[in-house]
Amino acid sequence: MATVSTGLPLGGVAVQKEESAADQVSQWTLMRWRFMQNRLSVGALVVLILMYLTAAVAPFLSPNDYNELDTDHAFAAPTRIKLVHGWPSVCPLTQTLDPDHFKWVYEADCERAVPIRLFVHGAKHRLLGLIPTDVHLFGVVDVPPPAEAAPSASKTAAKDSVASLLAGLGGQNVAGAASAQAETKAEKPPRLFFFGADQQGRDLFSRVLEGSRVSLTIGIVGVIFSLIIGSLLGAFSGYMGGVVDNAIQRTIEIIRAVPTLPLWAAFAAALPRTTTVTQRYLLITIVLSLVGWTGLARELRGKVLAYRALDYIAAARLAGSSHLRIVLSHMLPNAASHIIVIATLAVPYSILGETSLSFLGLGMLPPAVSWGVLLRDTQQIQSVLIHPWMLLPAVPVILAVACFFLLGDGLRDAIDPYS
Amino acid sequence: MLNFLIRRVSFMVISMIAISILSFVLIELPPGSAIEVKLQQLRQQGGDMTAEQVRGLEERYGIHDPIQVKYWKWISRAVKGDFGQSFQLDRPVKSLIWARLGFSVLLSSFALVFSWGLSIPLGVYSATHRYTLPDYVIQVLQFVGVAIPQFLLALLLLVLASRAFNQEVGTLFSQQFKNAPWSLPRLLDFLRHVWIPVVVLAVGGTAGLTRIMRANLLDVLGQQYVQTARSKGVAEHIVIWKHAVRNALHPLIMALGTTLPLLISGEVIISIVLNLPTTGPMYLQALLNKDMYLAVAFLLMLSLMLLIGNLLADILLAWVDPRVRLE
Amino acid sequence: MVTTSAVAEAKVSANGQVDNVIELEDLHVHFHTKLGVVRAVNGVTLEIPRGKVVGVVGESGCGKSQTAFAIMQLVPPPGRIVAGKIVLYPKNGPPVNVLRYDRNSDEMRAIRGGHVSMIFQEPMTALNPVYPVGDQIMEAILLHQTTDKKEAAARAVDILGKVGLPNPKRLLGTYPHELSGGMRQRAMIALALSCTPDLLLADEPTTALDVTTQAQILDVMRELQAEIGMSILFVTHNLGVIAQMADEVAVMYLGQLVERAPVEELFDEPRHPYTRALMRSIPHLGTPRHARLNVIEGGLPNQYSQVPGCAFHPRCPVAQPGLCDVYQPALRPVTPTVEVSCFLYHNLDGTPVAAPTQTASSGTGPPLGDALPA
Ligand SMILES: Nc1ncnc2c1ncn2[C@@H]1O[C@H](COP(=O)(O)OP(=O)(O)OP(=O)(O)O)[C@@H](O)[C@H]1O
Ligand SMILES: [Mg+2]
Repeated sequence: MATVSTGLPLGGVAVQKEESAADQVSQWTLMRWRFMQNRLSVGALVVLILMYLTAAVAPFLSPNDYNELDTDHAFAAPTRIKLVHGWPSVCPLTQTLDPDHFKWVYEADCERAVPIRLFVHGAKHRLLGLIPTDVHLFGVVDVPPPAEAAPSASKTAAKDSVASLLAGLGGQNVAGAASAQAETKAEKPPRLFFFGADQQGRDLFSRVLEGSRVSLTIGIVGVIFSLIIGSLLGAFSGYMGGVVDNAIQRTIEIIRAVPTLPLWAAFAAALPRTTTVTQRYLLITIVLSLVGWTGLARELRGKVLAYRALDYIAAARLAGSSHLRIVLSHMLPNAASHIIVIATLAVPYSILGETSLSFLGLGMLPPAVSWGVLLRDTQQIQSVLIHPWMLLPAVPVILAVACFFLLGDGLRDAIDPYS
Repeated sequence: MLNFLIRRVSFMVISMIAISILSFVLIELPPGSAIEVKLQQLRQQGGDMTAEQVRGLEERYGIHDPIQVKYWKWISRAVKGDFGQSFQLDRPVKSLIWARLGFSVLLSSFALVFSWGLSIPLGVYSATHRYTLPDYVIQVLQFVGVAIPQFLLALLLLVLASRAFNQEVGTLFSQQFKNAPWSLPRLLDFLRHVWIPVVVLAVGGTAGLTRIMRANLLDVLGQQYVQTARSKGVAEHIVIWKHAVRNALHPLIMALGTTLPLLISGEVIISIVLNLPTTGPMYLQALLNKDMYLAVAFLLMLSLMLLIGNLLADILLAWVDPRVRLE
Repeated sequence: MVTTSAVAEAKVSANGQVDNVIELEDLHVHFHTKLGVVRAVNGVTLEIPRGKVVGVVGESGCGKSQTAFAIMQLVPPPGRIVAGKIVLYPKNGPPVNVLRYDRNSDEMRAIRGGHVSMIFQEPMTALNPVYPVGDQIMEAILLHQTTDKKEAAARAVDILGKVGLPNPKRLLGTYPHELSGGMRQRAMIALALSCTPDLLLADEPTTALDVTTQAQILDVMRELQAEIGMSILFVTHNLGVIAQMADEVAVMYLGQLVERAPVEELFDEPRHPYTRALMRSIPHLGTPRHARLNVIEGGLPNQYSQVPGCAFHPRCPVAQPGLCDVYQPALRPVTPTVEVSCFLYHNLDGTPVAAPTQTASSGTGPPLGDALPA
C-alpha cells in the first residue's frame, strides 16, 4: 500500500513486504490463522475428528460383535492384558458363583493365555457401510478346545440353578441363554473386553463404539435441523422486522419459557414407541431441534439486525433485489462464520440431550445402542457399585461434549477476537 | 415499574395459555392414555362402579369429545386450581404436585445461591490472575463442569456418598423424619441430605457462570471507567470489587435467562436419578404412563417457575444497573 | 525506605531556574504480545514546566496515550514500562522518582489523583455507569483530601459548579447516563481537578465532542488551569486545539519525540519533515475546494518491526539513503527553544548542519559519537 521511492535499503523493503502480505490475506485465512494459534481448540478438533473417524469404522475397530450375548461373561470386569513373550495376551476366565453375594466371580487362567492378534476374522460387517468384510483390526482368535475340557454335567446343573437365581435378581435373560449355551458350547474361548461386559455379557467397548455412531451423529443432525429452521426464521425475522419479527420472537419466547428437558421429555413421550431404529433416530433429532432452533434463531436475528444497518444491503435493495434474495445471498453468507460458531456450540447440548433422554428411557430405545442407552444400565445404583465399569460409556460423552465446547470457543475467538 | 409488571404478568399469562395448549396437545395426541386404561378397568370390574358413573367420568373428562372441547373442560377447571385427576395414582393432581414443586423450588434456589456464591469469586480470581496456573485449573474445571452430564454427576456422587460417607442417598430425609412434621431436627436432617443434589445441580451452573464472570470482568477491566478509578488512586482490590465486579454482574444476571432453564432441567433429571421427592420422578412416570393431567400440570408449573425466575431476574437487573429502566 | 531512596535519586533542578513539574527520561513502554514486541513508547525524554500546557501530537498509535499512562504507572497489560525515569516535583514536598514505587503501592496511589490526574478521550465511558456522579467525585476527595463526608460533598458541589455545570447539588445524585457527552466531560474534569493536582494528563479530552462543546470545555480547562496553577499534558490529534491550548508542543512519531518547540515557533516554522507533513495535512481556509488533502505518504510500518535508522525514513520525502536508514538521529537543540531529531539539522556527530536545506543529501562523514546503528 505504501509507495516509497525505490532504492531503499533492506530494512525498509522488509517492512514493505510484511505490510502488503498482511493486507492481502483474506478474512478466512486470518480466522484460520488465529484459530491455529489456540492450541487447546486445535487439540479438541483433532480429538473430535478422531472420534468421528472411529465411529465411521466402529465395527472394524470392535473386537467383538456388539450384540453378541455371552452369559459366561456376564458382568465380566475389563480384561487384564498380560504380556506373554512380550506380546499382549488375554487370559481366559472361568465363571463361578459367589453364593454369599449372588454375584459372578471370575478367575483368570493365564496358563492358556491367547495373544491379541491384528486383522482377525470375526463377525461380518460393512467397512464404512460399503465394503463387506469380516476383518477386525484386532481381537482374539478361538483356540481349539483342549481335549479334556468338556464341562461336567454337575457343573452345568449348578450353573442352571445359579442362573435362575440371578434371573430373580433382574437378569431375566440370563437363565434361558445360559442353559441353552451351556449345553451346546464347550470350553469358552478367551474374550477381549476392554471396558468389561454388561449383564448379558455383551462387550461394552464394542457397544460404546457402536453407540458413538448414534450419539455423535445425532448431535450434528439435530443441530443441522435446528440450523435450517433457526437460520431461516431468525434471518427472516431480523430482516423483515415489524409484525413478522414480532410473531416469531413471541413464539421463541414462549418456547423458551418451557424448561428444555421437561419439554424434550414431553415431546419424546408423545412419539410412537413402535418404530424402527432409524425412524426413532429421526424423530429424536426432530424433537431436539424443535426446541433447539430457538436459540439459533435468536442469535442470528441479532446478527442480521446489525448487518441490516450496513450499506451494502441498502445498495442491494436499491438495485432491486427481492427480499428473499437479499436474505439468502447477502445476509446468510455474512452470518456464515457466526452460524458456524453458534452451531458448534449447540452440538454438545444436542449430544447431552440425546444422552439424557435415552438415559431416561425416552430417547433411543434398545436394541438401538447409544451412549445414553448404555448409561441407562447405571440406573441400578447397586449394580454400579459392584460393576463400576458400567460408568465407562460416560467417558466419551464427557470427552465429546468438552471438545465441542472448546472448539466452539476457539472458533468464536478466531472470528471475533475482540469479543 | 408498574407498567413493566403489568406487561410482564400479561405476557406470563399468555405464555401459560400457549404452553398449556402445547402440552395438552402433546400429551393428548398419541393414542392410549391412562384415563382410558382406567375406564376400561372400571368397565370390566363393573360391580364397583355403575355404568352411570363411568359415563359421568367420560363426560367430565370429555373422552369422546374433540380435543378443543376436552381442553376447554380441563382449562376452565384448572384456572380454579383443579388440575384434574391422576389416573395412575388415583388421586387429584393438586394433592400431588404442590409438595413436590416446593422441594423443587427449594432445591433450585439453593443451587442457584450456591453457584453464584462460588462463581463470582472464582470468576474474579480467574480474571485477575489471567494466564496463571490457578486460572488454567479453574478454566479446565469449568469445561469439565459444563461437559459432564448432570445425571452422571449425580450417579458419581451417589456412588461416592454411599462408598465414602456411607450415607443413604436417594432421599431428602432419613426414615424417621420422612413423614414427620417440620421441626428443627427434621430441618437438620434435611440439610444433611440436601447437599448432594444441591452440589450436583450447582456444578453445571457454577461452571457456566464462572466462565461468564471471567469473560465479563475481563471486558469490564478494559473499560475506561476502571482506568478512571485507578487514576483517582483507588486501591486495586476496591477497583475490582466496587467498580468492576458491580458492572460485570449485569451479564451474569442476564445469563439467568439460560441458567434457570438448565437448573430446572437439571433438577428434573437428577431427582430422577436420586429418586428425590420432587417433580422429576413423578413427571417422568406421568409421561411414560400418559397420565396426562398430572404431566401437564407439572410442565405448566415448571414453566411458571421459569417465568417467575426470569421476572425476578429482570427486577434484579434494574436494581443492579441504573441504566436499565423497567418501563 | 523506598521514599528516601526515591528522593535521593531525584534530579533536583540545578539552580532552581528551571521549574518543571515532571521530567521523563528515556522512557520505554513495551507490549509483549504473542505476535511480537510492540515498542509503544520508545525512548521519550520530556519535561513539563510548572503551570504550562504541553501539547503532544502525532498519528494514531504513536504512543501518546501510553506515555500519559506510564506517568500514572497505569500502562494496561501486557504493556510494561521497561526502562526510563519519571521524576515528579510536587508543589509542596520533595521530588519523587515515580518508577521507584510499585504500581500498586500506597505511595503510587497517593500520586494518582492527588498529584497527577487524568481525563480520557471518551466521556461516555469514563465514568462508572452504576454510581452517581457525586459518589465518584467524592471517592477521590475522600481518598486524598478529607475523611469527612459532608466536607467532601461540599467540595464536590464546589468543583462541579466551577466546571460550569448547572445545579451542582442535584448533580451529586445523578447517574452518568442521564448527562450529555459535554456534561459528562465536565464532570470528568471536575473529578480530575477535585484534588487540585500538580499535573493533569488530558488524553484527547475533546475529540469525541462537537465543536461548540469542545470550545467550551477548552475554555473551562484553560481557566481552571490558570486558577489552580497546574500543568497539563495535552494529548490530541487536532492541531487547531493545540494552537489554542498549548504553550509548548511535542511531536511524536512511532514512540519517539521528533520535535519540540514553543507553539508559535512550531506553527511558524515546522522543522522535522514529519511535522511539516502533519501541518500540510490540515486543510486551510482558501484551499481550493476539490483539491486533495495533503496526506502523509505511506502508512505506519508494521508495529512489531523495528525500523532501522530514523523511524520516519520510509515515508520521508527527503530521506538520505545511507544515513537516515542506518543511523538513528537524536533529539537535539536547533535553536535555544527548539529541539529536532533529524539529520537535516545536525550531523551524525551532533554538530549542527551549516545551512539546513530540504534537499540536503550529501553524504556525511563516517559514524561518530552517540548515534548508534540500529
Ligand atoms: N493491549 C495492547 N496490546 C498490544 N499493543 C498495544 C496495546 N495497547 C496499545 N498498544 C500499542 O501501543 C501503541 C501506542 O498506543 P497508544 O494508545 O499510546 O497510541 P495513541 O498515540 O494514543 O493513539 P490514538 O491517537 O489512537 O489514541 C500502539 O501502536 C498500539 O498498537
Ligand atoms: Mg490514545
